[in-house]
Amino acid sequence: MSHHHDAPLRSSNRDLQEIEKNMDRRRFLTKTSLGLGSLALGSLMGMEKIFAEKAQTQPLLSETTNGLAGLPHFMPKAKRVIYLFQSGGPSQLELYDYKPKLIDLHGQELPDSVRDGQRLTGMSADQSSFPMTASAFKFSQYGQSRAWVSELMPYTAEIVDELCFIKSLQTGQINHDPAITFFQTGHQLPGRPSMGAWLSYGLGSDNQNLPSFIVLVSKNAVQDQPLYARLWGNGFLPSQYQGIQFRSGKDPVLYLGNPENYDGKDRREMLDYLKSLNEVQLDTYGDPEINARIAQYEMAFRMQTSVPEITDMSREPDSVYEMYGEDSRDPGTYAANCLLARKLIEKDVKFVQLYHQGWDQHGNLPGGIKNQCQKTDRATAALIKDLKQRGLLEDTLVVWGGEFGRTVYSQGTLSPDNYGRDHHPRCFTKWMCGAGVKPGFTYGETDDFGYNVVRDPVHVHDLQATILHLFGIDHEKLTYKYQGRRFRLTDVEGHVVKGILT
Amino acid sequence: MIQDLITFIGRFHPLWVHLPIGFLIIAVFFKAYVVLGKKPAMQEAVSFSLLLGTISALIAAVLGFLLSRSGGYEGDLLDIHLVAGWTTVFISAIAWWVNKNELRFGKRLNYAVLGFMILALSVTGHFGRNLTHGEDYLTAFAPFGEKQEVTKGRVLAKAEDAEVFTDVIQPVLRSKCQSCHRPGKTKGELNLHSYETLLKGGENGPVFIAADAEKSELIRRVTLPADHDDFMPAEGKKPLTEEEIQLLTWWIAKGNANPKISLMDADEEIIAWAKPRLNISGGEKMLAVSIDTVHLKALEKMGFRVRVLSHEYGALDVVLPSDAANGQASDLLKALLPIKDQIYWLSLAGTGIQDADLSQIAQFSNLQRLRVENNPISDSGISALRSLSKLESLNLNGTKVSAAGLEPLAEINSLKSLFLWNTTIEPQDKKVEKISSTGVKVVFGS
Repeated sequence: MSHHHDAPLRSSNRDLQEIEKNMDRRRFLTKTSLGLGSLALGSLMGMEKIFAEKAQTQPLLSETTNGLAGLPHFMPKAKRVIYLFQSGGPSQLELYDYKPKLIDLHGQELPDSVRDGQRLTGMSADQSSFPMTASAFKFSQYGQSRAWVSELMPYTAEIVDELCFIKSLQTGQINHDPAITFFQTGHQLPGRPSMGAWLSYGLGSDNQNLPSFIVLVSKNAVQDQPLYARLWGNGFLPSQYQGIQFRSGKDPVLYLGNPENYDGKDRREMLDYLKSLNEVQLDTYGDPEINARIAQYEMAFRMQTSVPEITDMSREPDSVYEMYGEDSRDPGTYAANCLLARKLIEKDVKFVQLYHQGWDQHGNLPGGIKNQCQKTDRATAALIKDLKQRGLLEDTLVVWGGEFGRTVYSQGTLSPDNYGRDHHPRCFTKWMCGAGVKPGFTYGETDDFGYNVVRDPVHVHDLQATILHLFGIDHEKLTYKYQGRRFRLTDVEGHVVKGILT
Repeated sequence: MIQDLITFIGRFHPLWVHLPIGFLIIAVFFKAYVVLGKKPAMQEAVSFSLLLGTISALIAAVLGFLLSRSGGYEGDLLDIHLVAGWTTVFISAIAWWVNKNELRFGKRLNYAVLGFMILALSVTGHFGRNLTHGEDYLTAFAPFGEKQEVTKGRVLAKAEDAEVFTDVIQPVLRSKCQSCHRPGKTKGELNLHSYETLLKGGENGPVFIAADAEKSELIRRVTLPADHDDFMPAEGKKPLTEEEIQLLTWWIAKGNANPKISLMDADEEIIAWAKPRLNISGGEKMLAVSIDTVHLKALEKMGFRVRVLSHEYGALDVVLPSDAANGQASDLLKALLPIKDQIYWLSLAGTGIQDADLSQIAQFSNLQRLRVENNPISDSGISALRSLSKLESLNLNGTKVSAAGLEPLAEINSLKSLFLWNTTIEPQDKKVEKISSTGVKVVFGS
């Protein structure tokens, strides 16, 4: 067997030699006649795939990291990010955007001057009445920053002095999938790279033993709206930059252990041989995706040791579980994912994205949102405290929020103890925390109805530009040429929100 | 290696391109001689020069293609040049074929193709020149059009001497307004050449009202929607940037339009924006430090993770993972000495470094963030860190530091956050209070 491993591949195999011979004749013809023509044509039409191997039109990779040469563009503040995505559209009116005037206006019709002709979703557009609805929950002010937080978030209320609330977010999308896709990729239609993919493409990895973009989805959430893997996809970027989803359970990555009676000692040799075979293909076809495949095999090999180490929770003391809540002992829950996120960040994983679904309370909002908060509030606050005491908040950015907000009017009938709220893209609240962001700060303001932004609106692209800025990236300069156009995360828009930066 | 070769060969492009230009143009002259001079015998020469032109254009295009792959060129200019170049190759080939078979294709088509060829050649040349020499190369010294004026202010000894009006605003006015509002060309009877003429205003009265930016005509004009008739700078000229407007607004509103007000009195944001634009003589500017990639690669082989933070300053973030240290941290640290002034962030958490190693880290003069948590280090070692005059964040979690060990750290004026979780220090300790009172955020466990 071993001679196969050592001898030069091509000459040792008669079949391969035959293919090579044929190839040479065919190649001579294509490369001399068609070849030059297609080179010219390819350049004319921007179809770099024709000559993908040589036509390396993308910027050169940096020598030391596997990020791009020349990045970061300037001194960064953040090294890593945890994005706590609250999928479904959490109601800003029940959580952070306190609107006391609604108590007097409760039950009255939403004035047309406020709605200003806005198109509503098909779910509530046909309603004969749009009664304004005050929150059923009490708000109080907390911390030195005196931030308003509702009674639903008692643990988050303890950490408001670390948070930077943005109350004036806006999006152009009113339905879940396009709105989430917009936040993740900068465009409402599927197909573009996710923010985490852009960051790992631009900055490379700080830990070669783990993927630089990891996705964790809560198993203990109401899964009423689907999440798709393309939300953390690589789009048109090479596929090694896609987010890697860890399964929500005891075994986050399957088949990492060796099968019974196999000690794994010759796996390195097997992979080296596989790599040399793949390189033959790369040589022949020049498809960059073969490179991605090689990189992925190597990553999987290294993950055999790095992942069991990181998911081994036995070394965490009881006090940690107490902090994150009892749920955190159950792998795959939001709380356990928060704890895992901290451990991944400690290992310098660049982008950890959590998803917690179920914030879509069209009806029965008071009960539904209470349930959501009980599952997430404690662990979210614990994560911030934990990062802070470990000194990790200095260079880790945490983002909390959903894809849009919810309407001030009740969807369905407003009864004394029950109501619902529809999707609302015109204003909603997110918060950021950590590296380079002002702590104990509130940015932007909505009107007394909680319907429109009256000061400092922040668009989705602005938030994306700001996150890239914190990583030392000029969002207008991180581009990838595809189908003849240079694409970027912020498309053709986006301004850095300087008001929230330290 | 191959990349070097590609670059080497590609760099012959600027030399070689002149060949097809010559061949193709001489072909047109020969053609004119054939037609106007009635010398049909010269027809052969036309074909021959077109053939030479096509082949040399093809080679030029390939060389150019290689050159573009060697980096340093990108953007729309390159795309246009590339497409135009290949188009030239194609059209010259067609021109050769049509000219050879003129009887079949007809004279008119032949002339038209030659015309297109010259057009493509000119477009290619034009954008190629823009790529190498910059877009204003051709027009910069043209007798028509406006000349770019020097936009730097007067030379200053240090940033503290700068005045908002003279050193920051005037260069902006010079580059954005004075092509029309200057001595000799006072559109709207407005001259923005000096503070005195600015004060006089124009035909519509004063351009600013001190302390009232909103009522100031100058601010109104530059902040109107770009398609408004009154918008300035007038059509087609570069508008003011957000920062420039912010600067003017600040000067009028908060600076009371005082011509002598110092830059140091302005908002932090304005100072930060203006500082790099000042014309400061000598040493103040940060020298770019080159990054020795060979050394960095060697460090990575040893187990360090090295990341560039800023190419401008050559600033690095260095991490030694605890599993890579393997008890050898002290030895490994010596490898950092050649780049000691380039390390801005350093993490040695859980690597097993000792007190003695900290005196070495104390030499890293530009260090801003230092993580040495979970190591057997104590007061005697930590006191060496007092010399780190740029240190902003220090993580001593899980070390043997005591309250007394905090005292030398109070000497670090730049320190902003200090982490003391899992140490024996009590949050109520007087020494903690003392260091907190100097503005340091001290973090314990929660």
